Amino acid sequence: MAAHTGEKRGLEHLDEYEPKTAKQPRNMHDKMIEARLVVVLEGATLETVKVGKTFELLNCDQHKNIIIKSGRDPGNIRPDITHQSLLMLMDSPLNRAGLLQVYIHTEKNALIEINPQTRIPRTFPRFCGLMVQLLHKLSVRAADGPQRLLRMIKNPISDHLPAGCPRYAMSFKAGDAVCPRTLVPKDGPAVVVIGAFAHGAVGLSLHLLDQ
Amino acid sequence: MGKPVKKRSVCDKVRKSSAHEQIKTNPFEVKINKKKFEVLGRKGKHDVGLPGVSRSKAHNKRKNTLLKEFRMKNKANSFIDRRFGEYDIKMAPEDKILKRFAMERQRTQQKKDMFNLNDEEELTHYGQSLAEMEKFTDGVDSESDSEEKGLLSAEITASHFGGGGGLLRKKTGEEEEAKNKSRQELIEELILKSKQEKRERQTLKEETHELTEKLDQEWKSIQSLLARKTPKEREEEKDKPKLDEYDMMVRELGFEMKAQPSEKLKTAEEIAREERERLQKLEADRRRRMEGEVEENPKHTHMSADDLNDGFILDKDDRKTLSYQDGKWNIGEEEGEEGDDEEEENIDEEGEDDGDEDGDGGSDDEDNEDEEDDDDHDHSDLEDSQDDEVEEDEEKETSAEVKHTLSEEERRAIQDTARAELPYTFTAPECYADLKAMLQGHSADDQRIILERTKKCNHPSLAVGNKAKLEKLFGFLLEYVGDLATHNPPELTTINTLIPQIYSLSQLFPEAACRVMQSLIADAAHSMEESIEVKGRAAIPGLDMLIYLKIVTLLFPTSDFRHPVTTPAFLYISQALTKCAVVSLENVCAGLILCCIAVECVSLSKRFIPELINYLLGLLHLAAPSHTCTDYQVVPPFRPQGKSSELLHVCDPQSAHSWTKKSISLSSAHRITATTEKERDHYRLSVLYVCLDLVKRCTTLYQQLPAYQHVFQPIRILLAKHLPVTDFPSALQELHKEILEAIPETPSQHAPLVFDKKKPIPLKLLQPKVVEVLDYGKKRGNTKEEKERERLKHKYKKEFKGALREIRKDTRFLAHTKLSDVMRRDAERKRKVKDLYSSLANQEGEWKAMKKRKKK
Repeated sequence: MAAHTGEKRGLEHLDEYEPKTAKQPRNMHDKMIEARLVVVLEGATLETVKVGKTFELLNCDQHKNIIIKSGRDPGNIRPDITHQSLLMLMDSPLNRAGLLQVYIHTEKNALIEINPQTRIPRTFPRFCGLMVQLLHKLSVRAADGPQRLLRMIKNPISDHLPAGCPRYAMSFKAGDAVCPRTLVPKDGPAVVVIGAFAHGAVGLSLHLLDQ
Repeated sequence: MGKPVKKRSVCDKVRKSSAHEQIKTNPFEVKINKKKFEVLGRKGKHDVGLPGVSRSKAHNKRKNTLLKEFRMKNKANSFIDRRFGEYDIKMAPEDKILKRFAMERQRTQQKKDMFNLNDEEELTHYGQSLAEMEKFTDGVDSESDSEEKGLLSAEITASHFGGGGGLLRKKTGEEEEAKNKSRQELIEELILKSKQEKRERQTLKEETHELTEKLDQEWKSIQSLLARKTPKEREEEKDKPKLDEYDMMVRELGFEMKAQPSEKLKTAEEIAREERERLQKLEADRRRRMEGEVEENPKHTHMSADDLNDGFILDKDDRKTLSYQDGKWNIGEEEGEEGDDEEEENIDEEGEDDGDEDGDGGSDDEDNEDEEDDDDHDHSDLEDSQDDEVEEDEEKETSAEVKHTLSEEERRAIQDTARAELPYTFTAPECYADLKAMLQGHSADDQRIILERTKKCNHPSLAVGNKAKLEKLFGFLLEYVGDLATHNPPELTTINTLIPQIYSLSQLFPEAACRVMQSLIADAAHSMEESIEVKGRAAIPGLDMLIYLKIVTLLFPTSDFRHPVTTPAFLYISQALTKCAVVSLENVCAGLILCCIAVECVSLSKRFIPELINYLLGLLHLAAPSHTCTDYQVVPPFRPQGKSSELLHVCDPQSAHSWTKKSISLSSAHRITATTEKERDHYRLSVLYVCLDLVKRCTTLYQQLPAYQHVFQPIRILLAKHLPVTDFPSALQELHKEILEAIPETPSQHAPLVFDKKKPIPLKLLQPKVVEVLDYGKKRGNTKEEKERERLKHKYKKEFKGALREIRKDTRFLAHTKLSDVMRRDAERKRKVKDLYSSLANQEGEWKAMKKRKKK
């Protein structure tokens, strides 16, 4: 290590060119204080179904009969929306820079926290497998490491959101579209609630500012 | 096996009872197991429980089994039905009976009866003896196998069913005697009759059988006749051998050797195409080597030797060690241009110069043109095939020869006679002195012929030692060439004629040529370094070295990225260009020759030689009148100011008018003939012309370089601002203008180099671990055996727990039973005691009452 630093002597001015690692909030306090975006995917339909001997994620394509038999609307059961949203969120530069936190609140009132380091499976069947595993085991660990990537957490979600930060929700009925840049707070985090369902509206008991 | 049935029966009882429905719907009876997650499609076995029902079921079961056992405890005698299969529920009652009967029979069959044949046991049918019945059925038996089984003749019917009376009546009608016959007799008669009929039938049957067999045999005999082959078939059989012959013929013909197709004659087009492909391949090979993609081939010299066909003469190594020349380094400086042709030309010039020194511009111009043409030719030669080059060389030779002879007719006559006298075989020279002796005194042409004949006489294929001899000859020849170059004046014509020989020898022995050349260049470089160390500066290489370098470029491919001979030659040239001081016009000339060679070498590969540009800049700097400006810098060996820094400055502007464009002779690197100031001025102008020409070539050569503008900027500044162009003749001015056009005025400004700002390192993505989701519990064990063991262990545990639970329930049940028994017994005793007490009380009361009454 000493040799390494000795090598760099006189080259301190190059430090600004050194790539820096994305920061990760270490503790609860950091999470609450630091400027970052928290996204809540509301109303995701993640539900397991037993077909034969195996469990599968309830899915309007594969389990149409079961859904109809149980008296529900296949059009409402859309885990693929959650999948796509997660893929986009987790692969975004914002997330790769460690400035995004995603929560999923399912229709069955399960609350899932997603580690920003999680690599969401690219294919839908794999995603389904992972979600089934999560719903049964309540947490999913990394394949090569001690980190918990996905885990079920305790309701209500407001316990996990930074206190006193602005909370926004998406709505179809909102009047004028608002430029997202205007919503960015000067410092500190912000929360955006997005519906992960095909039809309906975000109905929440949060204190919300409408966009 | 009785248990499940019983169980089922109990369950059925419970379920079938109307009470069960009520129980099921009764919310007080139903216990619902709470589920944490509702999972569609999961059929839970235990969602709903009926604890009351199951408890009563268990209780009943215990009552039927455990209680019974409990009651029978310590009871010694009990009724056991020991009949066979009494407690076997699975057996049908008929089977039971049969089995029992069989067993009984076995019991009666004692050992002593085993051999008693007569004592048959009596068979019965429905209690009646079968033997008795047989008596009446004898007659019926006989007809059992007859064909008329189904037919009931009146007779038989009557005899069977008509009863004795009917039969008797008939008989009496026919024969009176029959009256006497008893019934027994009648029957016997009947039997006889039937038997007879039977026999008759049998004989009839046998006869028909025999007849059919006979018929079959006859038919077979006829059939064999009928089945004879038709004459047609026989004919075919006969034809077979004939066909065979024919077939043989045909096959023979078929297998006969056919005329072999000859190689197709190639058309001119094809030949041309092949040639082109070959050339393309060679060109690709050259390019590859130019890029420096060196194959891991230790025999690189061989590789390049193979490359001959693309026009570069690879294999000749010209130089020998130059130890003997060491003293003569400084002697020769002349102007050398590219190629042998130039040398020739120069020689011609010399000749002409002799005639008219200030001579006609016209003839000089012609010469120049010739020179240029030859230059072009030379370049094309480089790209042509080897053969061409050889031819070319020969042509050159002859032309040179012709000129030579023209100029010196007397010598020509001598030559002719000498040639007539030339012997036709030569022994290969063993040392340099031999060679010198062999060649000296002959004309250039004769020398060539001598060498050719020597070569032919000592061709390696003729004798074993010839190869070594010729290899040595190559070295000597080079030495000889060097020697010729150091003569005063240098015998350039002879050198020129010798070059084809050197070339062909190098073709024969590429390795040896390589070796000799390398040692030559190494020696020269070492001596230069030594002189730099000792004196602090080195003299510019002599004319012999310049010629050696020229030969190197002729013999070996110059465009290779790395070549065992040309690379050292390059290094040597750049060393000379940076280290050798320029103190005289001869030095300038030699430097120019080096520059020419360098430019020629990189004309294909376009490799950048910074020494070359610096040297040209320095030369131009020598021509500038004032050296006060500092907007460009000259590098050593040139100095911005000093003794020899105005070497090329034209003293008299008027001399420009009288100057005519002419090339500088190679021998002027050796010694300049000009003596008057005007001649020197002319010479300077010529040097400047060549210099500018070289600069122009460099600009075209390096046009593609990214640093082109910056590299040529000092030259541009020098040319534009400091060179007194107006004093120069028009040809120079034109060149000057062209160069200025070729170099942009200000170099394009590049943004300063900065480090790229790198993106922050993104968060490392982690792959989630996938675990199999089971209905419950964990999946233990990896191998099959382990899994099986785990499963069994788990099952055992479960069963053990269940058994414990059952045992506990049993004991509780028993305890409860015992307690209830005791309670019941106690209650009874209490009751009895109470009864007794009451009766006694009654008795007492009655007795007292009686006593009272008696008292009264």
